[in-house]
Amino acid sequence: MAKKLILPVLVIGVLVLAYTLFLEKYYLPVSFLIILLSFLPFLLRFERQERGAEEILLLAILASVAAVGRVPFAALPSVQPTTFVIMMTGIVFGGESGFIVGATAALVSNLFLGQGPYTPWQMFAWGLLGLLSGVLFRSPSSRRMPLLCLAGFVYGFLFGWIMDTWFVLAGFGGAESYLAAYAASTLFNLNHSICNVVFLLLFYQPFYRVLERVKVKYGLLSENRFYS
Amino acid sequence: MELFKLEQLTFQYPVNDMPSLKDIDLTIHEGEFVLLCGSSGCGKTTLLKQMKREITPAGSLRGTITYRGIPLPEIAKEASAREIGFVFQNPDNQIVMGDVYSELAFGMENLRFSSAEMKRKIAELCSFFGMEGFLDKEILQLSGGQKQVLNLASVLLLQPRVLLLDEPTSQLDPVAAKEFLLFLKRLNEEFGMTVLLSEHRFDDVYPLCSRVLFLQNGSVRIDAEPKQVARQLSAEKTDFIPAQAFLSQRLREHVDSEAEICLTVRENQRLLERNLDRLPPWEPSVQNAEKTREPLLAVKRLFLKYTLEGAYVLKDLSLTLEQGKCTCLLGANGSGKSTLLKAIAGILKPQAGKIKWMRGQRSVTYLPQNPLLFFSFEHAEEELRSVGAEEEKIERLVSRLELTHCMQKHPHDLSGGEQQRLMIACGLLREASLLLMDEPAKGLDQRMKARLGSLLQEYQQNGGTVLLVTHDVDFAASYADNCCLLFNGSTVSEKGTADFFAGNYFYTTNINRMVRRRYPAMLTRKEVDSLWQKN
Amino acid sequence: MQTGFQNLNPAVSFVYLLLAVILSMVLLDPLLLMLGLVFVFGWCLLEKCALDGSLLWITGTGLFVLLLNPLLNHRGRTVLFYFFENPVTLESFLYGFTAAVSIMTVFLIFMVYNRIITPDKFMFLFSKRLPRTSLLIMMCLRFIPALQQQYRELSGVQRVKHPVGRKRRRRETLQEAFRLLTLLFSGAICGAIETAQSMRARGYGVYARRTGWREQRLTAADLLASVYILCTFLGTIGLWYGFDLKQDFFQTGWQPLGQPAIYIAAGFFYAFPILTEGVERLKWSFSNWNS
Repeated sequence: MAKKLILPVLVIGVLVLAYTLFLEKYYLPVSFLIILLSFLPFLLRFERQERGAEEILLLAILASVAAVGRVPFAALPSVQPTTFVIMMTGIVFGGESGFIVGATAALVSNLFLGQGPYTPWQMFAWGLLGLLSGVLFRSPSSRRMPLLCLAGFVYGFLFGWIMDTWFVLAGFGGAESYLAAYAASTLFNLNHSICNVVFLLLFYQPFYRVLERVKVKYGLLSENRFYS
Repeated sequence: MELFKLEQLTFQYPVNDMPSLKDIDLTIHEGEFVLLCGSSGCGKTTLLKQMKREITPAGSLRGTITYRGIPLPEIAKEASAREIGFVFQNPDNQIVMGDVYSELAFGMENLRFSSAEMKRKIAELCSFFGMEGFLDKEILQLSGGQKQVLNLASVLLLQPRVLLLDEPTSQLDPVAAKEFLLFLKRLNEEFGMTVLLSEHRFDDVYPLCSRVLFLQNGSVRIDAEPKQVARQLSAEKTDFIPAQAFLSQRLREHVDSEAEICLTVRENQRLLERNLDRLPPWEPSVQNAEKTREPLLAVKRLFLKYTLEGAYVLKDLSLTLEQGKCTCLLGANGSGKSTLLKAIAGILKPQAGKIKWMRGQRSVTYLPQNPLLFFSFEHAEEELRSVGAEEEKIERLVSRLELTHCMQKHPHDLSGGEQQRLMIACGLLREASLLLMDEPAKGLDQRMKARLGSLLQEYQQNGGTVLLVTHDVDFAASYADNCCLLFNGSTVSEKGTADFFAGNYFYTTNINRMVRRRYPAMLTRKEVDSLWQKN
Repeated sequence: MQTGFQNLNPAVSFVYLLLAVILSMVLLDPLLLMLGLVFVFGWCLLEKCALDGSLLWITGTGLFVLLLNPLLNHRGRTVLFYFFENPVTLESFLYGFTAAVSIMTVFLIFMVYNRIITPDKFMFLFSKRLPRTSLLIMMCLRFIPALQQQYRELSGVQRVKHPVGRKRRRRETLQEAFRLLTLLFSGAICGAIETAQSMRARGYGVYARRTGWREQRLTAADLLASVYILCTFLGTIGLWYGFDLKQDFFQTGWQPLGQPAIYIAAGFFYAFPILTEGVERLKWSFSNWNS
């Protein structure tokens, strides 16, 4: 019984702590707390749900491909397919897998490149994009190119804004600085967005085919298990 | 004690119209060392996988299979995972974790061993296998032989009663393969562990095992102790007998009717010794030693390393390839064979030295060790057509390499052997002046190897030159014109095939080991047969 | 070999690093943070962090925050000058300085983090509590270098097979790169079926929860360190909240904190890694000197 209580008590405790910190205007620690808290449901589900060897392998491979995805594109600076791979994962294997692959890709690539205070934010941002893709494009009929491209375009900015947030909170503390920071990063975000759209236009079909083939080959991956 | 009992076992894959296993009745007793042999597709792997519940493929199954008296599907999950160990063919694919220690612990972690227990078991087993040297390494730094020993060790840590091994040595160099087999023998003898092993290269297993199952078309055709199987099969004159039995059978037939079928090199040597004066003289068929041909390619004093600080992988290496000849590179894992192929293909840039081509002849096809790296299209057919060869040629090659049923599939969905054959077909179709092959005979059975050999000979007759890397000494002895041993990044011996093998300990065929005192240049079964054909 | 701080149980070092990040984000007082920055920087030098490249962008980020704050924030009483008709105040400079030092300290703490919490120790921290997540991460740690190597080989083989000219259009380069990425993924999946069989063959899935082999007992030194860390941390935080030392720069400007004890407590907290190293060196030279 006591064991069952630990988690809710912990969550409530953290929320109370976050609220007091928020009142004290410690926005940065609050944001970290909230972000870490947002991982909790996924983490717990992932730990508790029984997953076959194939599923966990597939997730590991997808996260690794997303993490090293930049390597083949080294000749083209500022082109990186990570968001595309995460988005496709969400679409084909569902939102939960999308979140896990996104967050894991961010974490493990930083295990190689070096962690920073931005790691949780990156995990959150990519995880969110994976989750969103799964939720938005759940039914095959919604997977139309204009919609996909729109989502890809928005993702670029969404990702950028989430990543800006921590910096603004840490360095400026005031709400008035947000607009300035977001405006300053527009160029980067636009590049990311265009990149996503180009990837979707050129490679959505072939990559979708590859993932579908894998899904059939594995046989075990029913889409429903990844949702619910 | 009965370990496995199979009764009237029939199994059929959903995609096939014929059962892969037919009415198998089989009892395996504790402490046996069983060899499964037979041609590709005879059902060896399928049979082994039926005995390991966790990996039994989907399909229709009739008959019963019991493990220690209990039907296999009913034994406890933990007991099944713990007591029945399985080692797969490909050393790389079965590794799950990133470093050696975690990989060893993986199985024990699954079965909820305590940390202290894991550490104790790993420490103990490590010294048995001599793994102290690479315990702290990452998987990426290991050689193929080390990886397969690691796989065996990580299965053994669960203390299985029976070990099932599916062609575990097929990707190891001759020295590592022998070492691996000796580990199995020790486990069997010193701990009474039951071993079931399927092997293509069974020459060295026959003397070690206590029982041989010869499978044909999904049925057990012969089930007896090794000597008897060898006797029965050699009476039928098939290729599926070890070289040792082959030689003693021929001696018995032509020279000494009292000769027994022997399974070890030493016994055969004694047999030869006994009949020394009755053996006809033999000279190797004279090779056209026309050295005048201009070399297609000359490698001169090559130096190559991967990183600035790293050691040179190729050191002062020189090599010449004559046009229209087949040259074979042998050597241990990590001696630089594959690196040399890549340097010649132009994938790697050497730091010093020259690779000089005959004028106007610079065209090269490179077939890597891993066929997955080679394919670039979504259907096998596209892959073949992309070369732009004549239709008729493609069809002939496809039927000779038995690829007809694969044409519409994705190359990545084919089996390992099919991928290998498809890549070979593509390589041959490209008709470059130099064909570079890394381990082409891997995953092919006797029949396919012979076919590959004749295809290579045709390639040479059309003016092509072949350079291949292989661990398969028998293949090299049968089809290479020149052989070359790489050690530590340079060539230590570069000779005609016969001269090359005479006098080596490891890098030579079993036939040569047995007959070398009388016929130093004799290497292959064909040559043994030629002894009596002339007369 | 490892000395001092690196010898501690990974859990203790992880908690210390975490608390250090929290303190550096919460204690918004320029003097306190400078104290922290100096000690953390010293720690970086001690652990031989690769500072040469990162120092530049860390200082750059700090300067950026320092200079941009006054331009965006116009509150405060002491107007220094007008910039495009906007007042630039001393208080906003002060706030910018505090934020800059805070950011730089956090970055430096992460530099040390990357030296101390190696992937191996990272796995140690989480493999017991979150076995499945750590399995996933561990597998990624195997796949990522393998894929990188696979990519090098793949691109080499494919370049020989389909030779391409030097000059290519951007689109062709992009398509080629994507083709390789797809092949890489598809190839990795091929072997994975056998990997999955190998996992099941060794008991994966028999129990819902796995155990972890990494286990390190807490030593007396670990306990002592934990007590020290907790005392100094709680002391600092307690003083900070207890006496409500938080100040609003824009209202009052900067004043030295009312409780000088907090400087001592924070100083002892931040100095911990350097102290452990010092104690270890002293012990070493004593034992060598005696013998």
